[in-house]
Amino acid sequence: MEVSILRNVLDANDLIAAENRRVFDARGCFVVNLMSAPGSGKTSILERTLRGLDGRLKAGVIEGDVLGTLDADRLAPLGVPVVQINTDPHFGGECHLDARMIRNALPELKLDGLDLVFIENVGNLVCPAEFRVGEDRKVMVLSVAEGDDKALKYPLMFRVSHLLLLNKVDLLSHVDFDPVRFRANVARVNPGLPVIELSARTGKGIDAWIGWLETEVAAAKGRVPCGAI
Amino acid sequence: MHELSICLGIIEVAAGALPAGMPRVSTVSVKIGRLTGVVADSLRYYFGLFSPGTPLAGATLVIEEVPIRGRCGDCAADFTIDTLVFTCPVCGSGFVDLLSGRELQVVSVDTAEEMVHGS
Repeated sequence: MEVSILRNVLDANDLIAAENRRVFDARGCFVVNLMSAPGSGKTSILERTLRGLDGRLKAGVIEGDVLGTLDADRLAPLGVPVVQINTDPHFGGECHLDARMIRNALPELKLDGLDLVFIENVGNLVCPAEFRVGEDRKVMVLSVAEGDDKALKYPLMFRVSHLLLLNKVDLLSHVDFDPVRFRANVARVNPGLPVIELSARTGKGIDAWIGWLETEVAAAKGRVPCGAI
Repeated sequence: MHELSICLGIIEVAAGALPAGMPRVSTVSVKIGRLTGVVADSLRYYFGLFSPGTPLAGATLVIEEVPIRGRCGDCAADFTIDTLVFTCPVCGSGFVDLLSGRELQVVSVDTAEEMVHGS
């Protein structure tokens, strides 16, 4: 006897992600899900960004890591609210953040008065692409040291992202990364994906990234919050 | 890498949808899109590890892998994407909507025995 089920495995996650999104929208918080491989420079970019925002936008951070508080500790001196999530209570330590983890972290982050919340995902180019957490925008970081072929190896991440930050461009003369081949590979997978080249180390390109954030936050404030009461 | 989460999701969805008094489940059929990057062998491995102790104990996981299909937003051509080039092969446009390839769906469960009436 066959019983038809026809249900999506991620329905439960997507439902909670939509609830999270309503909570953020109701407080007027724009949410960026920041994703990359380990070591691409997400936290360094955040440090530069939070300094560069200079209070123009009030930001908070949810830090996702398998273990430890190293990243939250790095951001603490910047005086922004930071909540650390560790995924290790689950079997083996989950390789991504899901909507339930963000929901559990929300009571610890005071959203009132925040314009912007960064969710720094667990370093991984595969799994985080699949799990909505309640974000407005998915932003991926790729560093030039990782190679110019990554779009062809991790297509889903490049497909779902709204913006790509190409980090560590100060290393370009030291690594075999061909910017033309990189752009061509990205265009094969997601021709509409905008790319901002930057260096969290030197600060190059950070202004362009902050400009993108300011434009997106302003546009979001102009629309009616979805589900806001 | 996310096969564990996906597998636990499959077990939760399938076990939760079983009608009361369902005989032993022999197969659980799922659709997995190629773009999800889910490794079928890994999913079967986790299913074998985590299905015992659930209503799906002893069942086989049957995986249908779904190809990535796209439709061009400019010339409306439909095509299969199997070389990870997401541009239209007919007119070269980059405006491509995905028709399939991201499926993570529990399709059905099957029981070992047919329902026996009378006898």
